[in-house]
Amino acid sequence: MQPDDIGKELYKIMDALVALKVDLSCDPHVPGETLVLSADKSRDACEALDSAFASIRNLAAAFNGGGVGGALGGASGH
Amino acid sequence: MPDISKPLQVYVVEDSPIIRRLLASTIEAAGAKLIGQTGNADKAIAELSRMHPDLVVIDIGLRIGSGFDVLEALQQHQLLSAAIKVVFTNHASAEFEALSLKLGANRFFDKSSDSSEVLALISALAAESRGSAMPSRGSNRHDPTKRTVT
Repeated sequence: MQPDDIGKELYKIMDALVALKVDLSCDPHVPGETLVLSADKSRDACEALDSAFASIRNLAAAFNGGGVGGALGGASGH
Repeated sequence: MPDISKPLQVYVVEDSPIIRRLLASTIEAAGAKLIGQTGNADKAIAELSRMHPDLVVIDIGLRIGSGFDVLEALQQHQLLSAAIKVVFTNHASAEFEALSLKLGANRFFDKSSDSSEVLALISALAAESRGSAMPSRGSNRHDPTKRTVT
């Protein structure tokens, strides 16, 4: 994985976290008793988590030698 | 009496599907109209040269090209000079903010800290647009020329 690709994956994670932050209504002005997460919002939040997870997995594989367990050319599974 | 109000027309230049979805749902909820979106700078420039959005939301890092390419082309060809151009990016450095403003952006928002602010701005502009033929550019509350400190 090239440095540019690593940067792109990191920005994907940041975008997912931004969306998650909005979905979770992290704004401190929202009253404490307010219920903020509809099923739709919950699904959007899960989509953001999945996206972040996929990017982290790609980065982890790249930094781990290209495959699960760190063995280049091994049974990487991705 | 005919209704002379029209929904705010918004164009989004953003490569992240998740952020595009977030902006699209905010635009729809605010009663504004999403007239186009892309993560490709060249496509954005081509479409913006024939569209007339009231508001353009621009990310810096794109799939092809950058938000700077889009701003620069709009400035060079004097396109959308009346539209509000908002940069919404993870590249929130002072250098990028200065360059964005120099290239004609009205506002600069850091995705990680200003997401609520940019979504509120879209909603406010949409509300203003519904209340009049065009968003009021002279409003103190949402002065598009006012810089955002990030």
